[in-house]
Amino acid sequence: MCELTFEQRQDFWAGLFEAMACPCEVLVDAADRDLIQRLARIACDEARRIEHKFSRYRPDNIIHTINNSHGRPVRVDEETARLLDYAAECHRLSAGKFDITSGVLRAAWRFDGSDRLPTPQQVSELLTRVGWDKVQWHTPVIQLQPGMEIDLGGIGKEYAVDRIAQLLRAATRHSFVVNLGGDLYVSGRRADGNTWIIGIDDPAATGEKSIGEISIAQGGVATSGDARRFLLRDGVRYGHILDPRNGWPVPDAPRSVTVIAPTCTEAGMYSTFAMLEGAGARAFLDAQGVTYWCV
Amino acid sequence: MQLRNTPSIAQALSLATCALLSDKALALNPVAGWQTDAAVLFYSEKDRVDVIEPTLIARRDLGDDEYLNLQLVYDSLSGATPTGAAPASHAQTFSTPSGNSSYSVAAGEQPRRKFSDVRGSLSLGWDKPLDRLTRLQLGAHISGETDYASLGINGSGLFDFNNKNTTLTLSLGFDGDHVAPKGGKPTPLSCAPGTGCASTSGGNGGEEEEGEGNIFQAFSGYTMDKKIGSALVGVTQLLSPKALVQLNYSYTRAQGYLTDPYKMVTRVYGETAGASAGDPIASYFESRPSSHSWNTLFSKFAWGFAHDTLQASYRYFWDDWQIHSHTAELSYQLMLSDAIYLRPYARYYRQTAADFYRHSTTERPLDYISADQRLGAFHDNTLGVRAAYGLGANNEIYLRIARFVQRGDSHPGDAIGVQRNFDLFPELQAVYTQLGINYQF
Repeated sequence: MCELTFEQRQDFWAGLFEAMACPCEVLVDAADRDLIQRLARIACDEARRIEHKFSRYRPDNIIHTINNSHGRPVRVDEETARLLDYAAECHRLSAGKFDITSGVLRAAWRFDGSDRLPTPQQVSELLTRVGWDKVQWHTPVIQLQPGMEIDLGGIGKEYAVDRIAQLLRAATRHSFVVNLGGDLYVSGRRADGNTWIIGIDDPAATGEKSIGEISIAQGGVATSGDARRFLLRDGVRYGHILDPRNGWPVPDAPRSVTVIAPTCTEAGMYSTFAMLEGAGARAFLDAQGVTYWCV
Repeated sequence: MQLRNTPSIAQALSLATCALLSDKALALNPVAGWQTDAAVLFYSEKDRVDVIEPTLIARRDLGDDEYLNLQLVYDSLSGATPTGAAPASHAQTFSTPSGNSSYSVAAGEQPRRKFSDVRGSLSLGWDKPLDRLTRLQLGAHISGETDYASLGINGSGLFDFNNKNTTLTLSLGFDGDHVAPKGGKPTPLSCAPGTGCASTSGGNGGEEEEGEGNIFQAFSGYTMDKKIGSALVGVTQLLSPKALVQLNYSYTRAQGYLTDPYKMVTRVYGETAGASAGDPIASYFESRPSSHSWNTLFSKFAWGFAHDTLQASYRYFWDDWQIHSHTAELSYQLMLSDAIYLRPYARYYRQTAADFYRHSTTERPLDYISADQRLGAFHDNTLGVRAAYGLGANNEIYLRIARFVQRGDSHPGDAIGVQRNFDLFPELQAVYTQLGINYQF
């Protein structure tokens, strides 16, 4: 059940709730408390629905079924199939750098600020169970090799933002913002013609310090990166972005990348791809012609 | 280091995201239940026909994107409809189709017969995905009037590809209809009783409305007088999450009794008859070919703005009776608030005449001929607006009002004698009023 709280801020309402292990909010450009109650309820229900359906931590959903299929084929529903199609396309577009099967590498890498690196042997053993090209995906049937796992965590939150935005757009014509822990969508200019102002967190002080402000009329914003998740050994900093092709952290990845795109899902992909490019992050983003902040 | 040749993936990513977030096939509101649309339409033609039509459309969500569709329509029609007979410089008397009575028409007036009828129809459809990219739709319908019965089946396959941005539709349909006019089917090109030929029945001279009966009676003695087969191929292309374009081609062929048993064509005196030129000699039952095939090309474009939707469509029709028609329609849905929208629309239609259409003839008709104005050249336009008021997320009440005007050639160049003095294609004006409710439970 969603627990919602409401705040009136200046001339708009905010509905707050928790989902996907982060603080979420819906802002609506209206002085109408009934409306924000209705919209926040829709948003929270949808966020929880997507979380339940695609979280890899739950024992009762499609991801669990796929990850425990022991090499057997699994038939998936329409929505899951769309997400897998999308993941397959992103794998292709990133030349294999974006890979929803890379989660098993977490068994070797714990980014706790310590100096405990895995051995090359540990990593190469895990790598035999990583790689979307080892997966048989013929819509709507997926077949993983035994020991492989998929994780839609790299898409789920941004996807939830865009889904919620679609539901809210059908429910109101007032301008709104959907914000799931910093990944967000802005539906349009406010009634007075002004844009919403979005603060960009300092990756070193999330939620405390802002390094800039975005004025955005319409579109999605997403951030990749977490400056507090790394390993440090012999003066070399290993960030938590892993290259699924060799199982090692991407060298010289930015600490944080924030991107504006037409949808939150696209923004999320751009920022993720940029991190995976390492030192080439800025060149990659420049080539896409998107607005970004890279720290 | 600058990577100078980083390729842009923006377009491919945008397309893939569009497919992911397209809400075309994904139920955003996965509530199994009934979605209903109940309405009543009042259609009123000036000086002619009035129709009251209650309708009920219901869609049952069976889950897993499978649906059952049901549609019930009931019509009650009454009024006066043109028979095709020509006006005269004197009052005329015609027999009713049953031959039991007669009615008179004033000098110079277009002959119209009074009638009343009822019609009921039931359609059932089943709509089911076969796999993630294919849908199957099967349907059947039955409808009955006091003098007409129709049975039909249809099936469609919808195939998605190109990341679900493109849908190919293939449909087939078949109808078998029974025609059971009051007084039996007249012999085509035979002389209509009481119009100048020897009268076969007396008649009581009063104006009597035809059409006692019910919607089931034409099913007794059902024979397939008319067979209609149709095939359609269509493509729908999503251009963006809020814009789509659609193109359909369909071919339909009807065979059997295609004549209208109540329509006549009048033989008039030729120009050599002096002052009598153009006045009726006799009227004959019309005759149409026993086969009719037609083609339609239909295109539609829909574009969503922030909250509004623009739709434009165009249809071209051509057949082997030499009728060509153009239909253009434009609508704009304007959201006035969260709960209220207005949808003004305009429609224009224009057709050429069938090659056997004649407003009247100076010869004894021997070949296919019809004076049914629906087969003549005319054009019409409709201007209307639909207003809806939302009652929560899925329910709304709506009101539609439209005005229809149809015009043809009132004074055709080949009119004979006195016919030149008459309005041979009187303007038709009609008003539609429809009140309905969409309700989900």
